[in-house]
Amino acid sequence: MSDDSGAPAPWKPPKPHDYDESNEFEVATPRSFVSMAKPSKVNDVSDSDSGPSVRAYLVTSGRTTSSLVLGFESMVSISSSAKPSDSLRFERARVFSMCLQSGAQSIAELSARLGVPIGVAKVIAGDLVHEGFLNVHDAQVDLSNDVIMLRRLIHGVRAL
Amino acid sequence: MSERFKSPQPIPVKIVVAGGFGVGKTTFVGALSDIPPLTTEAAMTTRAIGVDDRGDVGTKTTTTVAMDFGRTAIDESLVLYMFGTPGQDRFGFMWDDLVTGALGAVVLVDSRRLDDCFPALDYFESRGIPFVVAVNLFDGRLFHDVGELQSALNIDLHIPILTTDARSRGQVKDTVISLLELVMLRAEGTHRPSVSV
Repeated sequence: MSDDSGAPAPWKPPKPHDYDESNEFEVATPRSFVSMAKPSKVNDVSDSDSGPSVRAYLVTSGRTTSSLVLGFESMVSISSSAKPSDSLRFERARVFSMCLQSGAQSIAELSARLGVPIGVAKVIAGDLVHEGFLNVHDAQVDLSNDVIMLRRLIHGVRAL
Repeated sequence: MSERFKSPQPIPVKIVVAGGFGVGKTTFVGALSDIPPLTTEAAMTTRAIGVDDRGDVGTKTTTTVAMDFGRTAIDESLVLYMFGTPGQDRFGFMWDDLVTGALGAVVLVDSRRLDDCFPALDYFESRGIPFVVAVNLFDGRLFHDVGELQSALNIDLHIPILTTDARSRGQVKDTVISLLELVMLRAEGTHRPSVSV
């Protein structure tokens, strides 16, 4: 990821025609990260003072889609082979440490806790999965046809 | 760190709670959630209606939508996520990205403002997504009886219409169970192709 390039590039509003319809940020309000105050425990983020105002687009290297298909509810957790790595910075480090501290997290939770749109959370998590830091957990089968699972779900909700 | 991995793999399950502004979606979601509802935002592809046509980008556009959601651990591996989403705005309801993979939906209704839920009903009907209609009782009052609602909303007779109180964990549970039972009926019965996107 090329999120270490120092000063954030000046943000220019995207032109609608540059994006395809699945683009998650076509008219998303640009927002800056305010979330780097706390250096992660797993990383010594030595440059955390240097500039907290990194654009979402910069963190994702301008990408708006992940090559992994992730849903809002797709969960990620630390891969058993993952070792804390100094190469993780910023949001990537925060995602890793959130999963380390709180267990499996959904894309939606990562998005909410990082203060980034869902699409950015998908890209960050997708990268970490590709690099072997995280595992994805999704319903492997279509639950809406899985009577046994549905029964278990109903039983579980009743017992709440 | 290794004991963390002994627990079973989590299996996320998603339910969408739709309805008009101020109908109590966040309260509903919060009533069952293990955590205070979180807020996220996503860009949704929508079809602008008439007056919103900007001319330059055709009829499709995207808009950023904030959503509240909750998380409930059901058992050692099942995790229920409920997403509260506004079903009534000037863009209609075109949220395929959110609804993909959802088991079903609860359409929350304020019986004084029935129209607010129409776009959500249309959407779920057209996509074949199972849903229940839950009238959120404000001050314990129902402004129409269920029969009137059924015809006013013009929905199939097999779609459950219930009353609920979004502040009550017990009633929210019952509403969610009604939805799950509807999904179960479909799974057991017709084996119709489920919503696959």
